[in-house]
Amino acid sequence: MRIVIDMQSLQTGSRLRGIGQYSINLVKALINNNTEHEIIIVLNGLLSKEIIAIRQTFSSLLPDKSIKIWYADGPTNDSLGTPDKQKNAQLIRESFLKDLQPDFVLLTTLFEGYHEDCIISIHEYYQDIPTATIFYDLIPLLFQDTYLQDPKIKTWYHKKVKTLKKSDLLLAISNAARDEAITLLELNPDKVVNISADTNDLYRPIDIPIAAKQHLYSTHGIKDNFILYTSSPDARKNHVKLIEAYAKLPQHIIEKYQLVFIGGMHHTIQYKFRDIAKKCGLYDDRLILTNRISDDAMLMLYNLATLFVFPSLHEGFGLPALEAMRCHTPVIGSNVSSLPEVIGYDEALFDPEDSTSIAAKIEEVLTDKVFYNTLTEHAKKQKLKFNWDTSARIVFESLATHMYKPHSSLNTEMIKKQLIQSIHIPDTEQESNEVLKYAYAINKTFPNKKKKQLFIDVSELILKDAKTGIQRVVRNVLHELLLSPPKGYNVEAVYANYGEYGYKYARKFQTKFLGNSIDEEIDDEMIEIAPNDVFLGLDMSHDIQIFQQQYYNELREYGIKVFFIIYDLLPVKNPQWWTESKIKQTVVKEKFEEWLEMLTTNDGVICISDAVANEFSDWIEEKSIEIDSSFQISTSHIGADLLAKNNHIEISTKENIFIEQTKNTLSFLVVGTLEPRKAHAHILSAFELLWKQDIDVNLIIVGKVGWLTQALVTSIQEHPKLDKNLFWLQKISDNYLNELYKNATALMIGSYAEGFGLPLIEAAQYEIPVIARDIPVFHEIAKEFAFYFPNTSEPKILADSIKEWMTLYSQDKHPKSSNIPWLTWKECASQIVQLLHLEQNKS
Amino acid sequence: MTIGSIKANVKAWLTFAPTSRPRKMLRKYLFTLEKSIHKHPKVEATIYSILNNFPKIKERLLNVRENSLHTHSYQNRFHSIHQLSKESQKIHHLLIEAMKQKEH
Repeated sequence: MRIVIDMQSLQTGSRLRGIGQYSINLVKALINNNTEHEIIIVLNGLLSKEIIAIRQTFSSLLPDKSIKIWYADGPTNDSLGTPDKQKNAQLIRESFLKDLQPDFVLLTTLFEGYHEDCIISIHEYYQDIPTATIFYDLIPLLFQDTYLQDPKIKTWYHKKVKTLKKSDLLLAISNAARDEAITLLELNPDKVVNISADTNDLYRPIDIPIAAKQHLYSTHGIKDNFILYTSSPDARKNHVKLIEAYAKLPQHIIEKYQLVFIGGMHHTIQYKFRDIAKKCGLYDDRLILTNRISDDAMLMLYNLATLFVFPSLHEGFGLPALEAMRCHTPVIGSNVSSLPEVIGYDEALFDPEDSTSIAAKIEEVLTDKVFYNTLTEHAKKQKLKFNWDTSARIVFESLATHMYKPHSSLNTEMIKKQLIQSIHIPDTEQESNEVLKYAYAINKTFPNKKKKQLFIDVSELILKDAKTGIQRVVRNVLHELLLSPPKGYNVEAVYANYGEYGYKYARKFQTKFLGNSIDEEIDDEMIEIAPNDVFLGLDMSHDIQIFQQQYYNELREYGIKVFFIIYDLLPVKNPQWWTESKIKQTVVKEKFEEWLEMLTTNDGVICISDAVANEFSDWIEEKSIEIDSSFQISTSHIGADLLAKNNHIEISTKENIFIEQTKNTLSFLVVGTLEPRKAHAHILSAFELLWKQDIDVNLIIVGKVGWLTQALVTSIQEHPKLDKNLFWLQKISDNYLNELYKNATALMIGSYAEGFGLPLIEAAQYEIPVIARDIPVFHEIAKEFAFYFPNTSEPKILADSIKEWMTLYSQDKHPKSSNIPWLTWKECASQIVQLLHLEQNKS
Repeated sequence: MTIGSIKANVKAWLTFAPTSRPRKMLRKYLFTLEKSIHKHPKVEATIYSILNNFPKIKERLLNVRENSLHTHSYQNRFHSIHQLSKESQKIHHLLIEAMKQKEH
């Protein structure tokens, strides 16, 4: 069977109530007990807020592709929506369900949609979608004066009852609920099955540490022993009678036991209950009223309570009674509706309409030790009668028994066509953006079943190719991915603009990037998304990506994984490396942190080194940012360009002369843009000390002028050793740089901080020794194959280190860089593909 | 309308309560303002430095902006067919055609 479960119960306020708990536990049991059926969960895209949380709830139980979303235009709720919007949403939903070709649709909720955009219809547009509905109760119908006073709500509720009756099968949560459905809805008993219920696994007997107990008691004003009742403060729940019954108890019992009410006790209710208690002659501290509390606190209270009393006038099941019994707490309750079935012991029941009957039963339990112990023992046995696995088995059996073959077999295109022709948009709205919204919603509900896509964000590169290190990575990884896409995926370069929601295909860029001629007809249209596509924020464009945060959420809700690359976290700790202005430093830091925080709301990040990954994890901890347990922080080293060492490389005569000039002297190469972080000034000062000691060494600096280095530039330009032992080469060709690498004695890399340290790899390729600052990321990349100098800015210490290295070098005992492991861009791209959980094409 | 509900409405307006019109307007205004400030880094930097002295106001504004982004992006995002993908544009065309046919 293909069972399609509509889980809108987890998308509305019901998720916080019994219905939500019931649905989640039952569906988990269905999945866990499933051996032969296909289970699909469907969700409503209009109620998008909870979708990601629901995906995470089921992530270990169901493949992501088994959670599907349909979309419509809202609002559709009865208080704000229009009938047209409601009907269109119902039509889209039923068309979507029809397309899934279910053997049964299981509805976990039905009486919703008055205040929220929950959409449920049965056989409104398609008669042949077999539908089973979980039936909880018909309490509003039974207590119309309380719940259906408002004529609008009354009409709405009766409409819902009619819908319920269209179900092919009702799965009642208790025998009492089943009887209620059969009697009140005049249904064929064969079509109503009791599937029963259970509680959350959480509820069990526990040992509670004294400190935790004291904290709980002091928080709620509990002194010692207490009688417990937990429920919403509805009139039906009968709190008032319980207060009256409590007041009728003998004084010594009242003094020994407080009465504790948990759940939704807002101020008005508290005032009302306290007033009643006062009128009954109770002291203020006898009645404890508390709002909803955490599950853990609830568990402790169940365990600590002397007695649980359940005086409700009507229940569909009565979960709290079972929760208390699961904690081996004696339970007494009403002798009406489902409670006799749940409590399962006639002696434990009372007449909920009669406070004297309630008081007598409470007194009996609290004064008769034998009866108390009997109830405790009974709780241990009774709890075993309820089990989610049994409920799941009954559901499977019932669905199989009531299954019928759908009449028609329409394909997706036919269903879609029929839907498009049936959508009704009033004339007044046709001119507005309503049609656009429906087009978008229908396309998302019925995505094209084409090849999956791996979207690569190149927004910054499209805006401006600043030829930075990051953009070099972006170009190279993109190139490799385009040449060799993951198995089953098309790789698409995409970009976004600040202020414009969503991403576009970078068609023109991609064509040019691959060296093809641009067809002027090519348009950069909005991307076509489908579940199971993957998005990779390869380029770093803070403002755009922060702006698109909501779009990433939309992608994730839809079933698209969203990952980003982190190159470094330098602006967090050292914003002064980018600007001298304190104000601007704050902006740099905060913008960057805003971007980092945005990343944590997605599926994961790939850091270019373990050092960056560790820094990111530390930053998350320091900022106390809550991340989901499934958030992935992984590492992939970046690649390097490989140029064959023996290739003949053409360089100018002047460049050749320079290389010949410096060849016979120990020449230390420093590669990188002049910026404070790279520590050029520190290295230059150390070499000045060496030159003062008449040590004949060359310092060759390769790199263009960056920022905040005016003093350094002046000092180089006016240096007495310039063009003698000190050389500064700007904007040189790659070929010339390769020749310099080949002929240098050693590479010096003095950066105070780096995300990776690409020159280390370049030096390794040319097998020239490396002298590096002693920082974690360099150790990670170069391992023991580099000579490390202490991480201080003291020139003398560096000068001494260089001398130490020269001694080792003269004895050929210096670390050899040729063993530094490194990745090609192809390997780097392949590693990223793996970290995105995609499969690499073997070709 | 009871005195109680009038009081509640007035309070909602004066305190920019969630879903109140003033709050929606403030949100919309803040979003536009944020976009224009973003175009002027110096102004942006100054505003940040001022707001840093009032962390609670800053946090509040960031929250409002975040919600405004959500509303802006989701509810009011469509105003041109170019905001739709190719397939959505095709469906849009079919919807228009279907509506025209119904008119006839």
